[in-house]
Amino acid sequence: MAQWIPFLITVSYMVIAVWLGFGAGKGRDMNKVEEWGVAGRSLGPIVMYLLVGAGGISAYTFMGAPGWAYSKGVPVLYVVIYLTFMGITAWYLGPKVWDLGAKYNHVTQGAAITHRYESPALGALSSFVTSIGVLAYAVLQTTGSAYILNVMSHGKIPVWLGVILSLAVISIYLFRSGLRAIGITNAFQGALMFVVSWAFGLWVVKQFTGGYSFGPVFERVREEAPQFLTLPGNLGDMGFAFWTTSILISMVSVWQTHWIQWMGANTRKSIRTAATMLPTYYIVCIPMLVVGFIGIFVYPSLAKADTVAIQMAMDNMPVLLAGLLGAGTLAAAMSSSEPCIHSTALSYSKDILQPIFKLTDDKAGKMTRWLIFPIMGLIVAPISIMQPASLVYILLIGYGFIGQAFPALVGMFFWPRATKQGAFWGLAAGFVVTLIFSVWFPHPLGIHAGIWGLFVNLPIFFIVSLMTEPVSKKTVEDFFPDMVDELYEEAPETTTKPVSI
Amino acid sequence: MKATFRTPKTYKGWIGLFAILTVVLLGSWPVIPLLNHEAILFGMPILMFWSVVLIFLTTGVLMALNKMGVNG
Repeated sequence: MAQWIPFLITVSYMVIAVWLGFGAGKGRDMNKVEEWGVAGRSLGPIVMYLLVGAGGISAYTFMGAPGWAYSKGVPVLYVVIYLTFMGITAWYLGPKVWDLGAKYNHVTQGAAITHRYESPALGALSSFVTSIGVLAYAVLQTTGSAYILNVMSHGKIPVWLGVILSLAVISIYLFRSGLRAIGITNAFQGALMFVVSWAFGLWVVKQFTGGYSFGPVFERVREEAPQFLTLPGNLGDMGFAFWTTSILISMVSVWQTHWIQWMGANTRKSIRTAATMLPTYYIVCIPMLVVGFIGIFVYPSLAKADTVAIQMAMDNMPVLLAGLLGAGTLAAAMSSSEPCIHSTALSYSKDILQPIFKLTDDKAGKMTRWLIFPIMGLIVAPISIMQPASLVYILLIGYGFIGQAFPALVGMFFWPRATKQGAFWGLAAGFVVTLIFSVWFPHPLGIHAGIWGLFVNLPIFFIVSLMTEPVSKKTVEDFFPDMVDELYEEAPETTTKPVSI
Repeated sequence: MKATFRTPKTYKGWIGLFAILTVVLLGSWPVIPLLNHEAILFGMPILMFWSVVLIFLTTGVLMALNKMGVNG
């Protein structure tokens, strides 16, 4: 019986998540995009902190990150630093995005791009291509959920059933309560992950060293395997250039999920407060990394590095802690996949289907939450079950695109002269370069493919923008009200009709 | 129409920009090689210790900028 306690704890977590998420939308009209999509812009700073923090912590933190520590060593710390610096991005852009949304009723990144560049086609295109990366990420997290259910049930729940179960649980509260469900469940998941990570990490350290200090662990690593303690790491694949460029590309990649989460805040101050404190959440990573380092000695020849933490839990931990780790890892996977499914439904509805079929806001609102079912049933579930070898490439392509949208954001917040042609051709060229340097010639000179993409993207963005007509003065006033006088001081006013590309 | 970039309008804005760039540099190429040693500090490899420092430093800088009324 005792062997089933971890499984029961993991299932209990799912029941609590459904209960919390389902109740979150009580008394709200979820047929309205404002409610289902951005929680009626009602989330306070604490929920925002846990929402964004937990969203950033995926199954990777509980499985992949200890696996990297186990196989490579300190190179894994670039993750802690880029997550920390994403707080700066949220601090700077979050309130600006929120202001625009509140003023012009934008909900998605695509809507803001459509408005700024006067091009629904560019908005729809960015929405569609961005969703490739977002959905690939949802697939990875769903696979992680299914893996945890499989391990915790001692193989009784096969992967295909685990995929269906985890998506079914998410669909119940996501359909019912939208971003409110994500907010409240992520707050719960975020707190759970924090407690589990530290409890598990300290327990493993105590078992390994007899005390709670990390010192003896790393003393032994220094004596027996010092290459784990410095870059480029045990596998020799993380030089300073790759470390730096990986951090930079992650920092400038603004995900659709982040954008929509920022929109859900009740005030711009709530985003700023949450973003200010956001880096402190990522202390959650540290104990899990220490577990990976301990794995170097406990499992000298583990076939799959990513399983080091779960393996340690199942082999040695009291059933209660093992169950909590299962629940925490599942929480990490679900808290990352549900915003991806939610934001994709929202952006497909608002940025693609509504303009194409000329739907009213009312109709689009009613359709939006139903879209989660085809997205889950026709895309996420089958790919999660099949686990195609090309998934990693899909993910790289998706990530590549998200990073290459950065110049379009520069045009939205910093450079009024940017045009849709500049944004489009820069993005297209950057995307192709990123693809080539991700798949066929990975990261030349140790520089991240996404940064190579930006090397090409940014000059094209600037040059093509300068060669093409700027957007209308009205749009410039909407996005740069403080600069209008200065921009049109001498030059004659220029207006262009919105033209789809 | 001029091709001007939006830049900080006040000295506080410039301080904010400088502070943020400094924090980013502290976590990347110019500084990380200086810390790339096997040394152990407060029970952690020096790069892990530095990551924890950056977490609190980033939050501290953002708090200070909020206090100064810098809006980015």
